[in-house]
Amino acid sequence: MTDLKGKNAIVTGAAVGLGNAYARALAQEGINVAVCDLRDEVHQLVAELTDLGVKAQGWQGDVSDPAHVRQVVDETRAAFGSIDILVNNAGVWGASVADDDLDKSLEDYERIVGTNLKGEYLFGRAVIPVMIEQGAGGEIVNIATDHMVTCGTPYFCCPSLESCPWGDSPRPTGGGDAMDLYDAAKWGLNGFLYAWAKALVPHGIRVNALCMGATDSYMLRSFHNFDPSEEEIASWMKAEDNAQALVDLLKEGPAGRNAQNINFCMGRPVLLEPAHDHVYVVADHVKLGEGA
Amino acid sequence: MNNAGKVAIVSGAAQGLGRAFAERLAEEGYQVLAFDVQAAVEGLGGATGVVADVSKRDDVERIVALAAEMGTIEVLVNNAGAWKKTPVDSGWEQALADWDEIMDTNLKGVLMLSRAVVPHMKPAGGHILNISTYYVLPAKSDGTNPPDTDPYGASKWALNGFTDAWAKYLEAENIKVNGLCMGAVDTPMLRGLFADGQLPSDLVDNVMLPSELAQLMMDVMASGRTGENIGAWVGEPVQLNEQPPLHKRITG
Repeated sequence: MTDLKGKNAIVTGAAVGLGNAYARALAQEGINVAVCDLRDEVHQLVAELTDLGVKAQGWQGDVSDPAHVRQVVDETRAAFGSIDILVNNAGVWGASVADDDLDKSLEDYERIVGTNLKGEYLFGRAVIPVMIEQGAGGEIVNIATDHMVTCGTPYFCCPSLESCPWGDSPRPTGGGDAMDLYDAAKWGLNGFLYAWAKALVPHGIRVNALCMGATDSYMLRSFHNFDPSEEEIASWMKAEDNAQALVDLLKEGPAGRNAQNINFCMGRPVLLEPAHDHVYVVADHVKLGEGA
Repeated sequence: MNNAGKVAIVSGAAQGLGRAFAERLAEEGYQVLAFDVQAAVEGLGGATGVVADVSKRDDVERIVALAAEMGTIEVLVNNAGAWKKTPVDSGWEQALADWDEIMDTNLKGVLMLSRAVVPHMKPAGGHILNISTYYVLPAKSDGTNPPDTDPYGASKWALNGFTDAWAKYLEAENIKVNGLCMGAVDTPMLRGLFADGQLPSDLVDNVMLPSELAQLMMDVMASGRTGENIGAWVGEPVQLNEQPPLHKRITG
């Protein structure tokens, strides 16, 4: 198990919700954390992370803006000395359907694909050369959605788990008919997951994704006009539980899984389950070498 | 089937797969509006060939207006695609340029063209085919999801979101939406990857032919199936296989 204390991480979209929980969980492990977000609460988070006894830095900005990404990555490296972990979390949601007009669609594209897909590309492409140059491995974790995995990827289910709502009939992918751009952006993350994982094997850098189902977060509460029922809240996963799964994933270190979409869907225990067999890549192509 | 008065739009139709799709649809009696950034599209037999860029909004609106004048738009083949190697350490400015070059055509172009077409297709139903890649289906060979194609792979994986959501949303309008996800097809794009345009020995005997994929496209449309990624692999017969259960229709 890898000791995380003293490592340096970037968490995007950390002001609220899952990103906030991720940043706090990493800080509690002794990891120095750089955070960014569109929202100005990111500055308050920096103070709270510092109170946990680690170094923290924060920037307010848009992950789809290359200049912002460059600033966060360059200044994090300058402040911390290295970048060991990237949590590509920043994401937005908006309804979009097949017969929206072009004006709305192009605005949606810039916002949803810009944040959820381009933002992760930019942070990945900015951090990867840094990690390669450092020569000490690294961890990239993209935050995706359970819309792009079924009960495991792509289609095993686990009838032995009594609490699993999909035990009898495997769950299809997709988020419905009003999320075409959101789902496209999240599906697109597979392009980074597999290409980066393969390219970075020689450098001991792992790339994985957490595919989140309904988690109590700012984004999910916004779906419910910030007035969800007690029953709804009780059914949602807790961001803190998922953050613990992120920590457990990072603790696997170079000997751990690589190029995997890790599914967290409602009704199942929120914990890091064993790695699954590879489906979309040949397993040997994403296996980190001895001593990586 | 009488396709007189019905219009099919094919993007990226100057050569290769797009050309084969356009020619086949013309043979089937469709009024075909074929477009491409390459002028060779203007010489396409049996089709109206127009030079236009799917990544440019004005061009997309011009193409769809022209198609609507030709008749009732029933078929849209989202075929235009950009491909290039994009090594992860290629440098920052290169990474930014690669993103725009690939995404503007492969994702934003598909979005714009489809959004512009759907209102015309709704009254009478139709077919949208998103041309993808075998990368998005379970691996059957070493070459899938290679390490130096991150934006290209992202653009094609992203089409899953469109195919799935559009199939659901447009079901009531009788508009069928499917992905065609193929391995190596003998096209100028493929031959351009090899010295002197010569296919390597392991491909030369079993590479798929554009005409085979055009037949598969016709079979998909005739089947009435929707919301699926249809696979075609080198070394296997190019055919419409049995419909998989719901949970495997996109993921294979």
